[in-house]
Amino acid sequence: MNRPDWSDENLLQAIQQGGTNRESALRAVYNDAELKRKVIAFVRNHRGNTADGQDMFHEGLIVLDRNVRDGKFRGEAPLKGYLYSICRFLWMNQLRKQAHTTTVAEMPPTAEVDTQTPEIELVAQEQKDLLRRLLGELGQRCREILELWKLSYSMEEIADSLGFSSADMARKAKYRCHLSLMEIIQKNPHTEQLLKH
Amino acid sequence: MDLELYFDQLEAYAEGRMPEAERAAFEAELADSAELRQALQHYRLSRETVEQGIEDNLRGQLETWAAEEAGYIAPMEVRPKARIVAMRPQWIRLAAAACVVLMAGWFLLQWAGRGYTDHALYSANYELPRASDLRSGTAGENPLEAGYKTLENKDFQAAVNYFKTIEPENERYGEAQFYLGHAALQLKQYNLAIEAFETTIRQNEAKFREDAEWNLTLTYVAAHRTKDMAFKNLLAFLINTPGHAYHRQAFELEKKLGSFLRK
Repeated sequence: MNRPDWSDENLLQAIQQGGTNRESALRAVYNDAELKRKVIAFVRNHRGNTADGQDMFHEGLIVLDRNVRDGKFRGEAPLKGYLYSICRFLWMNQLRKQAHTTTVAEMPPTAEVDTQTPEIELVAQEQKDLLRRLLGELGQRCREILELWKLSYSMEEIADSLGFSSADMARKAKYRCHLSLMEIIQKNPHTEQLLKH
Repeated sequence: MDLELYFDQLEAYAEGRMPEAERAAFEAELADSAELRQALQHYRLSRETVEQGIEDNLRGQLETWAAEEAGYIAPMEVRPKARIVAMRPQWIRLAAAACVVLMAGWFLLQWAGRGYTDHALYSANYELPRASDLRSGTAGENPLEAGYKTLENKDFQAAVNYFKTIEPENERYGEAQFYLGHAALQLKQYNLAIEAFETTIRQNEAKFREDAEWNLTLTYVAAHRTKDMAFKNLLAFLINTPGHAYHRQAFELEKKLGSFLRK
């Protein structure tokens, strides 16, 4: 829902709360047509097209969500300016990767100066694929439990959402699922490769 | 190492919930034990793994919003009400109002129905593999490299020609058939696309199977073959497999296929 009264503080709080609050807040940011246009314009001005711009807006939102939940962004700067900086950073980084041999000095110049440097952890596609494979070995229900836990749902909420009889049962299930995932990681021959990065 | 013995401590430490005194003792233990240090790294990796799932879910959500936005129907403009001075008998005004309502309803149905045609449903759900998804392995060692380039360049006929040359003995045959399916779909060669996606599914490679099942579903939609039993069985399979990567999309697709707006 696009509520006109979304302040930065409300948005941050809702993303941290998880659940439908997080979804509503992300949707509100997503619905900011002016910001989306600005990101797309930036990408189009730097060797990209509209679809690339749309992709960058999506990827930027994903980074924003993570950084807010991890406490890396606490509203030190305006949220939408921060998101714009992330999108620009991601696109420039993608151009750099595509160019391979192009040095930073040769990259297209940007007229605007970042108000802050977004803290972004770039994970290589191969690493992401490996993480997905590890997660794929876990059952669907375990995935859901762990994802809700990681999104800061309480055990009561997890029990409600997934039909456990009590918070205690949800806690035990989460424990078993997390142990299973760690065992999958322990046994996977590619784990060491992931840890090196 | 027996993870169960240390799990609670690893969790409390990694999540920053370990009391200060206990923390110092645990860090001393960590310094002494390579096994414990490795277990901590594995715990952190497990968080990263779950985070990848969350990221993928959000990416799917954003794509759904983008698709909704693409098929967005502008709300009807609300005009200020004008005061109408009665000039005709009551029954004429009532009949005229009924006509207006019926016509408005008919146009509204036509507008709303536009998002529910086979073409609209296919377009809202279909995604050509992105360039970043295509490559695995270095260009020199990958026999499909030339085919990837044709797809990247959107030269779909060349892609069809290329991927057809990959023989079943080739270890990347399943993958080649998957991309053949996409190229054929772009060219509206639906029978070829169906055959190629079915071959990919039979190859049963984890990386392509679920994608092929979903793209096969969409091929039937694009080909206006949603009455086919094969399509119905496939869609039912996706809907009844909660762990399937396209379970949610299949559920939404079925809802829209059954909508009265398509009737």
